[in-house]
Amino acid sequence: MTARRAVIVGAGGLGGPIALSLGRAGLELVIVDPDVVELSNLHRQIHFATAELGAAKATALAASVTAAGGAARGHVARWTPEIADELAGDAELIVDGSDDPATKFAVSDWAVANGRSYVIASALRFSGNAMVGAPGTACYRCLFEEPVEAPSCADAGVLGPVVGAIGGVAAALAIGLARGDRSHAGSIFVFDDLRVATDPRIVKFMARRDCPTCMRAPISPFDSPARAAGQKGS
Amino acid sequence: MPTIRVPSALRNFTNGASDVELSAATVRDALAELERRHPGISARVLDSAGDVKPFIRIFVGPDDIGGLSGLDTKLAERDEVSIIPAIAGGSR
Repeated sequence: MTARRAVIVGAGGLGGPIALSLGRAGLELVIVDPDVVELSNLHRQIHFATAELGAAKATALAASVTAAGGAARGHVARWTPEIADELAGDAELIVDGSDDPATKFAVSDWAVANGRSYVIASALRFSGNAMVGAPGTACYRCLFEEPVEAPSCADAGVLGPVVGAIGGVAAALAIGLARGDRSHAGSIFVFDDLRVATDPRIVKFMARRDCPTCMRAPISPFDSPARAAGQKGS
Repeated sequence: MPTIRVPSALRNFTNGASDVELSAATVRDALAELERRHPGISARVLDSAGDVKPFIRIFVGPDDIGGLSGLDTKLAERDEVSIIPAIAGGSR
């Protein structure tokens, strides 16, 4: 592994499989989530049990990772720009499985500004996607520009196995980044309806010329067209 | 004939269809034809000025139209146009 430490943002349906996979792959984890385990979570957050109702998700998931032989600590907080430096420290990799667009943009912006690799995972109802970012490639803000009001799983629902599947994909992509494989950086894996088809559409997107995050990045995608399009090896 | 791949979030407009084949020379024409067949759908993709909404990206094959000619990107016979919306969800 090129990377040794990772931050997992969100300890819910996506964050669970991501953390358990990355913890068993040998990465030291910081798990960040402000919420507690609720009964309504359990159909999709299968890493929690009824005995953990009321417990902080971040610390409960960290305990599961540790019990399986990994190294993790939980931080009960919402990821915000104000505390991002403290939360991430020198982690080389950030993986987002949070439930709101603003957090996803905050994670991406921080990762780009600090030269870290990252994966942003999302799931809703029967669909999901996972976007891969690395220094010098197009970012999440290049893709979707700005946060908008969007329904969360708690509002619109999600099929339990969908978050497990998308979380698994996000973990696999994160492990690739941790090994130094940037071949998917600047791409998004889109799963339209996992009840119907499991093959993703993989689209590689270009950096947006007016992206404020990339314009300020220490390693800009505009330095090199090859880097903007992503390339293998780091 | 080019095909528009409709994301699951918009399939209530297309009676559940995930792929819509239509005759169109550009992405703009394709979206206009999609609107003619399935009224209301374009308002979910384009803003009142006719531009693509910021949380939606449109690709022709693997290529973002932002790196091509935008909505005026020309379509070939077998092109696939993908509409990809941002989605949240995952934690709580």
